[in-house]
Amino acid sequence: MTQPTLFARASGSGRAGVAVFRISGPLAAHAVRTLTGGLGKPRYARRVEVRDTDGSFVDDGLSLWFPAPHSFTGDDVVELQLHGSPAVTQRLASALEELGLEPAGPGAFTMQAFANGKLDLTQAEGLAELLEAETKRQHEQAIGNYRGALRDRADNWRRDLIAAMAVLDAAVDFPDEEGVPEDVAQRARPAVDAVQASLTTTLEQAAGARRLAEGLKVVIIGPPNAGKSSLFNALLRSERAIVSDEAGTTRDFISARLEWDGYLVELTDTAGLREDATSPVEQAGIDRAEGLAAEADLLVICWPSGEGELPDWLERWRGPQSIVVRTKADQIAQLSAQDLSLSVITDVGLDELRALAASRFAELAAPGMAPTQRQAALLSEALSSLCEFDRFALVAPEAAAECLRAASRSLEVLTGRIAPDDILDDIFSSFCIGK
Amino acid sequence: MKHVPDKRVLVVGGGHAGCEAAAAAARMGADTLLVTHRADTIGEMSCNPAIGGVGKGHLVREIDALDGLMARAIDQAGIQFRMLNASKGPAVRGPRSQADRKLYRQAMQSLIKAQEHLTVVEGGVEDIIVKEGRCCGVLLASGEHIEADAVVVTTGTFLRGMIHRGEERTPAGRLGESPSVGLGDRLEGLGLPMGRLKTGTPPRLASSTIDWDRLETQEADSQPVPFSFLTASIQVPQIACGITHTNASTHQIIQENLHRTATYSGALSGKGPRYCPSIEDKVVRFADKPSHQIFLEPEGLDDDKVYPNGISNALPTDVQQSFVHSIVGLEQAVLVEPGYAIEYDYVDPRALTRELELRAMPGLFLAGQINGTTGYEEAAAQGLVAGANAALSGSGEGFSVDRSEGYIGVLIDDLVTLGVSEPYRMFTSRAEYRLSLRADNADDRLTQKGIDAGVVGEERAALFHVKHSNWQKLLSWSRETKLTPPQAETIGIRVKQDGRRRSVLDLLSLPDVGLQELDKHFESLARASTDERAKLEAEATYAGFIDRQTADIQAYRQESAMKIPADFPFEAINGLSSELIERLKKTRPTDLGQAARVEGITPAALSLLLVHLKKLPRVA
Repeated sequence: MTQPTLFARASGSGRAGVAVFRISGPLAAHAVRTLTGGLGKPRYARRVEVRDTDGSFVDDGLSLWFPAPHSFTGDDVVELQLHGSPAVTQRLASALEELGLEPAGPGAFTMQAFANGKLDLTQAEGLAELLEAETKRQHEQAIGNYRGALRDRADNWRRDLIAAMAVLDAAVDFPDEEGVPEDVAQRARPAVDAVQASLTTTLEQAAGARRLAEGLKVVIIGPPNAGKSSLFNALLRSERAIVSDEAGTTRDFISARLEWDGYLVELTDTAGLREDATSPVEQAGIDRAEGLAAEADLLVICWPSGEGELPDWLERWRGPQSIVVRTKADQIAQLSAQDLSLSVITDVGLDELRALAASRFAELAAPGMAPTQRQAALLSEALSSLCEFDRFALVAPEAAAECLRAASRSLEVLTGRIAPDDILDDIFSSFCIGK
Repeated sequence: MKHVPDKRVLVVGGGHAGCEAAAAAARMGADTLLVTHRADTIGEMSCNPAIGGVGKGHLVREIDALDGLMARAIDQAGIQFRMLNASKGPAVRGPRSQADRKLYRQAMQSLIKAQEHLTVVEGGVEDIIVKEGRCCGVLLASGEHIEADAVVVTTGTFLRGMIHRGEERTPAGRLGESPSVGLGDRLEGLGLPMGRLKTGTPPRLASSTIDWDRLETQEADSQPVPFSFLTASIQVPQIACGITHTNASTHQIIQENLHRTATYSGALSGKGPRYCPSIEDKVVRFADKPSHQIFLEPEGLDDDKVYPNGISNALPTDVQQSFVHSIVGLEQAVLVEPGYAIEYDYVDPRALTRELELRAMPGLFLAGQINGTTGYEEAAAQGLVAGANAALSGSGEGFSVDRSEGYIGVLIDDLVTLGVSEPYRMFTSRAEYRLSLRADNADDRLTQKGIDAGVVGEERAALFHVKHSNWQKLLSWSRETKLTPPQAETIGIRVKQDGRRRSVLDLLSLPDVGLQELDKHFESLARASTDERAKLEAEATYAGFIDRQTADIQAYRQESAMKIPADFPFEAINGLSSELIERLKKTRPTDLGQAARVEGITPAALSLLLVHLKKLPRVA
């Protein structure tokens, strides 16, 4: 088998002080020897001069040599740390291509690592998330999957189900034997119940874990001139804003991504709500704001401090998913007893709002297994097979065993027993080039 | 039906594998010779006088669906028919019957005699003839050469067979027959991977010396269900078996004499079946159990011998006698033949193709105990497959059953994929598509396949076509005849008033609806045969699993379609453990599905293999 040797810039694109180039495959050592005149000691940094095949100087930097199988991909790997200029990238690429190496496609290195058994499927999926992680908590969660937490759990479930199946099968296959009690179903049940409970918990936590992975939606609503934008800007200043390519600005609402107590939050300021819109354009804006509010994980309802109680059309948004904020608290003396009073001028209440929201986030987005859509579907499939168990356990042990077999089969697919034309390509194409 | 003209197949051995192999090759049209030491021992039941059981009964039905002999023979010889697991679901009900050994032998011998293209030759086979790396005949002890296009060896425990009883060692096959050392040497000379197994048999007791009045009995079913799809009803008289138990003093006698049994003196190195332990094993391994059950099974209607099922052992004769006498009802029992253990060589079946041909020796097929299995049914099933393929040998075609089609497929795939670590016996739990592989539908699953391959004779083919099309009609009717909830109510079935129209099959699958409730309203049901009614009930019971099972079978086929080249370098996959690589190289799975079943393979290892297989065409 002649396997291609792949290369790519593994650190981000564009200008940078240092860029890391990863070369992986059977020709990696040869290529680096040709370009730098040597390889050096495995896993030690070495100062090198990189020269073109015709001997002309390209750049100088560091070279790290990871002989197979002790490398990220499991193949021979060399990493070059050179200056991050587009010209260096360009010249290095043509030199490597001249030597018969190929530019790596998205996820190609991870795929190699997978093909060399360095990662299993759930770990590869975990890695994809790890690379996307923007906040501390996302990072913690992704690292769990990358290290095989979900796989370990699925393997345990499967092991327990197979043991329970053996109990049922013994009753079926040895009908005349003594010592095979009639209460087989009862003997199999505790294990089945335990797996069922554990699967249920994992799936329940999954929603929270996904919120953690994908970000919480916090939406600010309120009438015009209730101080929504001031609050939006104050929060943006106090939290770590995350620069995003997709900052959606429209006339109706404005969003920003920020790290809020370690959680990724997408904060949205909406157009002012009011009871009766004066124009179709305004009505459309209100409809959109209400749409966003309905999907929010947390709603911040603004109503100025001096205006008395909330009107009914705003009051109806109050609920477990909302925090009511009485804004412009600096303008009056009598603060609300029920709701949080806040002023962006004196900073009164801002810290309380942040803490209150963070405690809501902790309820909504508990770190845990964050199965991908593929994984969650398989977990649900396994769970629904187990739910059938009770129906058959007493009358037809072979059918009850079939429920367990189906569930363990779903878990096998989860950890890598995938059909030949399945989702492998999907999983690896979600990576960027150089990963 | 197609036939293979001008082929000669030679079958060595006249046991259960040999009979089916010879008859199958002959049905395929090959000029077939069955070579055996003594023609009058053809169809002998050397151990337990019974056929069938859970899993095993399924195999017998499948053998019958492919026009094999076993089911027809037991239907003429069965003296205690029982449907095992009758209280469980239809998929795991297994027909079993005790046999009158003499009637069974006679039935088998007359079936062999009646088979066209089949000749029995008495003689011992000394060696095979090899030309250009291919087996093309045998050398008899008489010095005679017989040429053949393919040879099927079914020599059971004859390979280096050694009988152990106490301190005695007797080289032998079955008791009183000589082992085939020459043939064993030849197989060894091929460098085949071999292993050693053991099995045991209990002493036989004289029925007239058993105190039957003191024992519980187990009766035959009042309505014996035949094994063969061709048998209308069972004519053989039915008898009961006795049941007794070992006790503390039995266990003490055995315990005190353990040093004298071959099993524990270290003389026996072969592995025995865990699920069919000797009485010494039971006493040692289940020391806390005060007693073990024994079935006293008469060996025939007019045979004084009784087979005490549950006390196989290799103790010296005097110890056997004294422990037997400690058992209720057996105080005066005379031991007609003492029990013994037999140790024998088997060929690691991973050296075989799915056709049961040796990869190292084209033209040479192996079937039965020589491949590490135990049981008449397992042997017969292999015999049938080996015989059919021997007839096809050299034609480029093969006959095989896959795991989704039958237990025969499960059996052979397990053998050639996993090898054996103890004598292999069939269990329903070995079949992942158990709910579809039922004893009641073996003909629907396999007979057409057998007709296409040429292994099913004309008489059965004609009967099958009628029966199958009637069944198909009934099944479609039960799916297409639909009732609204009010209509269901008028015939006394309460369902949710959801406006959904339910088919007769849907109604049958409701927990409290049985055929008898529906009979009076639907003539098609009342008219249906017993077989058809049983199948309909099975279809209804498992209706909820069908989609899932169909999807699973599809996935299995998809995996099976992903072929692994014969020279695929498993060692080039870095992520696989060296242990797994060794196993893969030994088994040489031909496709991804088979690889998935190699012992120790994990889903992660499988996905690795898949990646490398997919890469293959691009980089090769």
